[in-house]
Amino acid sequence: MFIIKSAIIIILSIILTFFLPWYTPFIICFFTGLILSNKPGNNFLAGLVGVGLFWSVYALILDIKNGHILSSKVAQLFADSLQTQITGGVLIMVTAFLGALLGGLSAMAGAMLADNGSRKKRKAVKNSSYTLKL
Amino acid sequence: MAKKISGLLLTIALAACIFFLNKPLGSTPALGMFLSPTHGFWKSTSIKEPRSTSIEIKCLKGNATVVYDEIGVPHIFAGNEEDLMYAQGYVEAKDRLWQMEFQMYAASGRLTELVGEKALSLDRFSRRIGIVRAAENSLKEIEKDPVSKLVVESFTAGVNAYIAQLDESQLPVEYKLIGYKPEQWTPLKCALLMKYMAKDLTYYDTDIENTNALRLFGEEAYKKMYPDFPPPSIDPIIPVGTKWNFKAQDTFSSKPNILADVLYNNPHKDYYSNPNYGSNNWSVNGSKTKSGKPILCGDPHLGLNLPSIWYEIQLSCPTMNVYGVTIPGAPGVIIGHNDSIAWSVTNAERDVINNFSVEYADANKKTYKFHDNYIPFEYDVQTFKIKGKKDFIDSIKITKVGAVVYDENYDESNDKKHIATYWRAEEPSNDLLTFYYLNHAKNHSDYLAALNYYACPGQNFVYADVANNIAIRQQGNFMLRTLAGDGSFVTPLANADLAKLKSKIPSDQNPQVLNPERGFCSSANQNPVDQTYPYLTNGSYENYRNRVINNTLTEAKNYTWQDMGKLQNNNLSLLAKEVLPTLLSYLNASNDKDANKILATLKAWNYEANHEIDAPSYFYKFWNNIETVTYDELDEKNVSFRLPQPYNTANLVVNDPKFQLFDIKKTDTIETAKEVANIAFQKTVSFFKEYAKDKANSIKWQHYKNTQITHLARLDAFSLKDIPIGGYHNIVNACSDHWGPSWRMIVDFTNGKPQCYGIYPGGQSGNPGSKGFTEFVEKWSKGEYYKLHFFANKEEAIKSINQKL
Repeated sequence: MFIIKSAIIIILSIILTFFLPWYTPFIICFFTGLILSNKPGNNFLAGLVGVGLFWSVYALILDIKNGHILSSKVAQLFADSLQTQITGGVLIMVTAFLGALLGGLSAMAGAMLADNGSRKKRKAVKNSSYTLKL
Repeated sequence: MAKKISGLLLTIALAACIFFLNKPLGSTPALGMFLSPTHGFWKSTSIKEPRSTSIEIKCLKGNATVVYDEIGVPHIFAGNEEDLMYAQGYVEAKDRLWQMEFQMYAASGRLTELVGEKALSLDRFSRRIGIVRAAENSLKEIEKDPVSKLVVESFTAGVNAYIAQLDESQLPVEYKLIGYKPEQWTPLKCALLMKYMAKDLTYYDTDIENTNALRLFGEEAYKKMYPDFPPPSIDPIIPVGTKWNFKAQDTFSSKPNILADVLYNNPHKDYYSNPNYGSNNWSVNGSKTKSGKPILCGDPHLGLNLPSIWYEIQLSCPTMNVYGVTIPGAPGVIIGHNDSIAWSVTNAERDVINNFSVEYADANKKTYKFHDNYIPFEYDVQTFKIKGKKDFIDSIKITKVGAVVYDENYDESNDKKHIATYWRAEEPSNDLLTFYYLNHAKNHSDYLAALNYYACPGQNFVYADVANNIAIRQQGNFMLRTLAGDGSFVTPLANADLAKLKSKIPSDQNPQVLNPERGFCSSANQNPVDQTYPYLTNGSYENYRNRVINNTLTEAKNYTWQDMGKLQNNNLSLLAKEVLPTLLSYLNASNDKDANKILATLKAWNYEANHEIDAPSYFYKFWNNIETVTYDELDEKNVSFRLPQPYNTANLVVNDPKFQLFDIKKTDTIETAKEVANIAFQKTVSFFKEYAKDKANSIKWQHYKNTQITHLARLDAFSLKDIPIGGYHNIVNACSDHWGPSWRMIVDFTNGKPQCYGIYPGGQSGNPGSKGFTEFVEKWSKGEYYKLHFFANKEEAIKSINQKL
């Protein structure tokens, strides 16, 4: 189930984020959690994988096309101010991690705010149908 | 319910998180935005940079075709001049928008808006000296002339058209790093760019330092340290023996210079420009070339920065076809050639700044003495927006000559030392028209007519044309002075002669020559003329590169463009050749192994500052120590001095070794040049002993000199260091640690039509994520050139790029 949700998140992110702000995928995750609610853990996974994949794959594509020129320079920038060694690969991981974490949490937050009455009702209906049979 | 509450809390926490990730914090970018691949730095790699292809731009009246060649130079073909200027603005913004804007922030004293309080002192300096006031005065002139008005407005519209179609994710990475967006370009910004360059090329005035030296050392010593015509002989721009075909008129009465009884400080000397930003240029006629046709060469020496200060471009429409380099933000081509002529510029280095001491009526400091009255100041109130802090207000006192740059609000606490400065660049002028008319010029008269618009900074314009003419003129609005010393010292504002201050030597009386007998014209920031010229030409001159160039060109026969390339890359240190033998003869024998190793290297040296050898490192450290030891008198806290030109110090070392300044104040004995040489050499040996202890240090000239090309925002990660190139100050290949040949150009008229060879240390792209950002650097460092394209029309351009594919 979370795979379908991940797919929805990815597709919607790709369509919408190019003319909306950078945090649009997280809003999409939130609403996915809110509307298609399930267990929050399940939603967390959906957001994690959805945005995690979207961001890391897109960053990788851009980086490879660029021949790693800019990512190594930006890594150097951060390394200079943090006084450590950072490579372009680390930047990809940080990007993926940031996107994944925020995506997962957003989806989970949405799920937690969702109205679970519907789920309880479905469960109640299911149980009641058993009772009736007895 | 608990779940809902924690859900709400989580949502709020996430919203806050995203909010903070969307904001820059101090010098950290908005990390969320910056790391997102859709909007952050990753995205900045996907900006398309056309190569060997053409694009169409919709302009004001019609379309323009832009053909990008294999090195990324745009060749613009338009149907009329407005569209051409519009397309130029658009195309320059496409490659260099961030640079264009950043230069504006620097010129307007607005860097604090981008980098915070640390830039406040520099910003205050920029506004006090009047770069913006000068640009505003210039803009009024630009708008009075229909040609310049149209040029600047079309260019501006093109830049803004590019900005309008940008979306946030496509911004250059520096915008994302610092956290701001582009503003609208305006005609004022074109004027600001010109005045920013004027500051770069003239704001190293030494009135303060001269006054201190004269007061402390007396006239005789002063004349030896800072002679107007350095002995034993000079090699001026205009050949010695040239007759002046006019009579000098000086109708200004001159009050004698009264020196104040104070020693001045120059609190912000480090904001002054580097007077070494000189350049070389020369042109030879057919008598010296293999083809019998002229060759013109130019290499301006400026700070080495990324994105590069220069940008190559071809501009073509039915009324004009020109190729060369421009500075992004300035319409037209600044150095280059068209079908008929070629030109290049070097800095004249003429003094165009006058400093005056201010006398206040009373402690209120609201009025100042001027002639026999006390006049109230006008005030220029400037607001500085500071990133992360509240605004700063600076109230600048304005006098009849200019602003009081240093006062009690800006670092000069001693009332008697407040100085008002007159800067020629503030006078109204329309210098852009010079480049416009040079772009259109077909012959020498056109060239002269174009030059007549040029006011500040003074430049030496060298010229060559298809009809085998060569010429050079030092052009600018220079003050008319004949009284020795005039303009070189701080004098009382109360005595200032406004008419003389604002006077101008008529352009046809400026130093110039057409088709000199010797077959070449050249300039390398030396004295423009000898003592026979009837006006004062005080300035900041050297006497090495000019002699190497002129000696070579005098001997030159059957030269090709490759021979010219060799001359532009010439690493001979004439300073070393002329002073080292004497210095070595002064040295006492030593048993120290290290000392003898250095001595052996220096003795075996052929005086060429090549990057792969050690000798230049030893020599220049030795020479630096000679200057430090000799001029211990100049090392005073809160009193500014200027170092004498190496040529003068070298002359004293060789020909006047008992000169009083060789004596070291601290010691009881009286030192001469011989003792100084030994002390300096000892210091040099000790230095290199220490230096060698760190295995990371190398004595090779390349590493010791460490030529760097620095990103404009001073980001190491976007800069280059340790470039393998030789040369140095006072060498034709004037490549120092942070400045050097920012463009090298050779225009060869061999085949009738000019063929341009050129290169600069950078690339057409202003995007640090692009290969094009530093594409040319390696070739430049090797002294090589690109053969550049000058197409007659767009069909020829398109055919050429298709052939290459």
